[in-house]
Order: sequence, then C-alpha cells, then structure tokens
Amino acid sequence: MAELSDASLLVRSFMRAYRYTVSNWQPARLTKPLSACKVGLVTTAAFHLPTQPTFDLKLAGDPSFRVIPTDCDLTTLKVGHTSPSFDHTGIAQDPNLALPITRFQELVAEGVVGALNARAWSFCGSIAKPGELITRTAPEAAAQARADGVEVALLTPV
Amino acid sequence: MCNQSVGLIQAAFENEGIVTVSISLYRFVTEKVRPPRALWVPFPLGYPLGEPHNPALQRRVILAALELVTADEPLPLIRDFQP
Repeated sequence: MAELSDASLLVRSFMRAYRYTVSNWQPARLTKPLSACKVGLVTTAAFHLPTQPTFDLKLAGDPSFRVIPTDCDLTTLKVGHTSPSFDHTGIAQDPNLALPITRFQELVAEGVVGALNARAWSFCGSIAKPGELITRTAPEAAAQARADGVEVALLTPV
Repeated sequence: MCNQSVGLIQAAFENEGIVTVSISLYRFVTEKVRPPRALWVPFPLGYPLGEPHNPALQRRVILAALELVTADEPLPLIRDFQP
C-alpha cells in the first residue's frame, strides 16, 4: 500500500502543504457494451520509445507526452521518470505493470473489449505546476484519442 | 504528483466524450482531485496494476477498473480494489 509515511520528510511536507487542483469535467456515458468499445491507454509512467526524446524533469514538471504505438516491442520501452519518490524496478521489468498493452490484447482476443487503440499516451507524472498540462497537452492527447474513435480510457499513475 | 496528473489528464479525455477510469495509489490525492471514476489499489507507488509479470493480478485490477465504466452510480466515484 502506498503510504504517505513511507515518503521522505521533504516529500511528505510538500504533499501536505500542496494545494491540489480539482479536475474539471463533464460526465461521458457509454452508449454500447464494452465488448464493442475501443479502449485507449494513458499512463504517467514516462515511458518512451528509444527513438523519442526523454522527459525534462525540471522542478515544475514536463507536461509533454509521447505517443506509444501499441504494436511496439514493450521490452524496448525506456522509463524517462527519474523521481526518487517511487520504486522504478517494477515498470522497468514489466511495462504492462503501468501500460497494460499485452493485457488488453488478451482482453480484445477474448471479446471483453472491442479493440485496443493503435496508440497510447505516455506522460511524466511529476508535474507540480499543471497549468500547461490542463490547458494544452492533456487536451491535445484527448483530441487525438477522440479522432481515433477511442470510447473508453484507462489511466495509470506510478 | 502522478495521481494529480492522472486525474487532470482524465478530465481532458472525459470532456472529449470518452468514458474514463483511473487507478489511484494515493486515495487522499484522488479525493482532492476528484476525477470521474477511480479504482484505489493497495499497492506501492510504481505498482499500479499490482506486480510485474503477474498477468492474473494485472487482469483482475483492469477488470475491476472497467466495472466502474459501466457502473450506474453518482460521479465522482472512487471504489476500493479488493485483492
């Protein structure tokens, strides 16, 4: 279990004093069964392809994202997250732990969901100042997902 | 910060008409950010779907998250995963 008491004193103090941003959304509703829906995956694990630039972990955070083709070789993915606040070894060993492409390929084959979108979106979650994430990059990724016909999205932090 | 970032990205996707669900590792952060649907999991930071190379557990978490997508309950909705 992720306990705040496990974090460093600096991180604990920061998280207690930090003013979290409330998300602003209008509810979407499914109009068909999951077995007919296209699913999109989003993670903040900072995965990127070897050919893509890594993330810039400046203090305020890097709001950019990388598009990950879901037919890529998962073993080649790099983890651009260098935050000392969590253990990276799990996602480095098995990217499905945060970007469950293989699991969704299985669920598609079984007919539990309709399809897995051809691209997934990878952000780097350490964003203390989320202004540009909210106004520019998250809407950009979401617009791509809509253009792709994504109907359901699963998002994972690390 | 990852839990906040996920909730904010989730809002952008939901606003495009996409039905979204996220994994939460820090319940208190998710309660403050208030994304539409979240499944809190009792795993350490860095382990949102449980364990590496444990497809059965990863699958159970995913299926529990997908249940929220079709749940007929008021939003925002946070449910706890039962391992």
